[in-house]
Amino acid sequence: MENDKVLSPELGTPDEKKLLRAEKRKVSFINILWKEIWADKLAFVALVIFVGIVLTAFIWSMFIDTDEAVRVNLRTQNQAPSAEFTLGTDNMGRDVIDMLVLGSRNSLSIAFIVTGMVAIVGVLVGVFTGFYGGRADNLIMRAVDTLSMLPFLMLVIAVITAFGWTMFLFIFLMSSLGWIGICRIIRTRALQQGRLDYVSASKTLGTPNVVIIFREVIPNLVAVLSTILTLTLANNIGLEIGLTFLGFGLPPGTPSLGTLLALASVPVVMEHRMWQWLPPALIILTLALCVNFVSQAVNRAADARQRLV
Amino acid sequence: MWKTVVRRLLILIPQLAAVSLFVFFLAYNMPGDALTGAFGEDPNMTPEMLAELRAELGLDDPWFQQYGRWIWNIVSSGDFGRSHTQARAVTDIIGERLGNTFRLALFTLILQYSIAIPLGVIAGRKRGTFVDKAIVFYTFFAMAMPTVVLALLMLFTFGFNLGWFPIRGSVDVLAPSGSFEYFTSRMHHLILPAVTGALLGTVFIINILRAEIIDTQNSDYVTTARSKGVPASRVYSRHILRNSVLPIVSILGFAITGLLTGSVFIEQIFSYPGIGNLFVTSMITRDFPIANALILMTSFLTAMGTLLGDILLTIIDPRIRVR
Repeated sequence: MENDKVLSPELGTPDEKKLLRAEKRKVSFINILWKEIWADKLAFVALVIFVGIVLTAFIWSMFIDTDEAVRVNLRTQNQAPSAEFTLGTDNMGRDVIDMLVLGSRNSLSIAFIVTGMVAIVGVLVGVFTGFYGGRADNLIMRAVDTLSMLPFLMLVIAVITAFGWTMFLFIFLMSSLGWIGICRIIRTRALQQGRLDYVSASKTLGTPNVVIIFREVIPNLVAVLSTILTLTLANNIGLEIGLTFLGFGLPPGTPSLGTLLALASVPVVMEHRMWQWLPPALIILTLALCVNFVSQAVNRAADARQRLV
Repeated sequence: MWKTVVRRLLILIPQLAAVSLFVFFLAYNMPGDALTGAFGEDPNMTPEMLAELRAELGLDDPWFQQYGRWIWNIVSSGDFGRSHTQARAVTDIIGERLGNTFRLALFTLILQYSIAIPLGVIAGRKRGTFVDKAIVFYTFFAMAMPTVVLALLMLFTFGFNLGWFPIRGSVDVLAPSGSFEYFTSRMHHLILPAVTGALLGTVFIINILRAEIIDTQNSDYVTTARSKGVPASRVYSRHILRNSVLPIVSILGFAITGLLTGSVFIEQIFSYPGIGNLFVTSMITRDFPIANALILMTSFLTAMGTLLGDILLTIIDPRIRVR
């Protein structure tokens, strides 16, 4: 990477070490990423909105008693927005605002967890197959090709219906095939990295392969990975909401943006009770748009040729 | 070229075998078997008779025998078993819906490419201008838009509010079959779901085409063509487009299968009686044979789609042929 030239063995005095650290910080990915986002005002605004929504969902939901908020109240069913209920109530008489807050929190939590799992599996499989190559790599990639032939959405729905809904199964299934895309990209990159001089040098010095992978190859892939992950996050938000919308995601009692959206599958609701489904639709759209704009900036930061700064 | 095709076909065989095994085990472990729903609440069926029937049908055999029989039935006669809830063959039930999904997919595909190719070319050609920026912004929007949300908004705006398009079904029940009215009613029902699918599907094509065109603009042969005095429009239509279109052709196979399988949300929201809708309904009624057949069929179609894409690519692009 760029900081290779400052890494010479003569640097030893405390001052020089300090200088080296400062130099390293300047070219660190986080630093570049931050500058890139700051330079692109749209991405910056998107990031602020995204973080805003996430924080609101997580902090506000701590002020809500979940049991009380989700309790069915037949007297306040389907009320239009009023002074008491700013955004009206849903078909169970629950305050739509509460449902939005709790739903955003649940939907986002699942999207974050799934993205994390997918990243870990995808990176590990990708890096190891790409770095070592050979017959195992060939075999694993064929298996990955085969897995990617399966209709993901249908599979998730079928397995959930057949074996019953549990949170563990749901998250497991959502992660089960999502890692494939990440794995493919990371593998190609790891393959390229494995042939570079710094890896050979490290090998000659006797560094074990595993150490090379974790301390040198993976850090070099962070830039690429962050681009994929932002897009994966957006996808996962959409996926959870879609599954819940169809009735195979979070169970009906648990608030999710998808549950509110699903109310719109009844024509009466769609036509006359916009306050129930339009806000969640707009929140989902805003979240996805923000993630996409941020990911553009991340993408530029990851690819030195496209950077704005 | 034939070498590549044969090689791809040879890889396909173990892949299909693995997929079929996977689906079989899924089906094997799912609740219910071939006799579920066959007799309904028939009071004359005793558990002993059922057990006897099960043994006769080979449902107590070891899994590999059952797998062999299952795959043989599918390959030899297209027999996917019987539905749990409707006493009919799964193949018949799916066959009824296949035409609808196929029509929707075809229409979506045509729309998708006829929107995406001009937009991609314009964006690439007028890079950095307002038009380009607008198109790029559109792709952001379409990429961010979850299918469910767009479908709901389209249905709400054009179906309910403006009332331009029907809100459900694939054809007006009152339209007499075989008449021109029947045909127009069908097209009328197709437009909303097809436009929704097409708008979402354009993103990838536009992005690739734009990037490819920007890339090829700077290549030597384009400069040569320009310096010879070939008019700009001809350079674009003949020299640049032909090369830029390669990646799009390679995803064509994926696009087709994606449309056939990815229509679950769209068909569900527009209540369009196709495969995706059938899948969701069969899962709500816990009719597993239908779901399993659909999963196997779509995996098979995806495999075929990728194969088709690869073959098309080797025909167009000699560089990737295996020597």
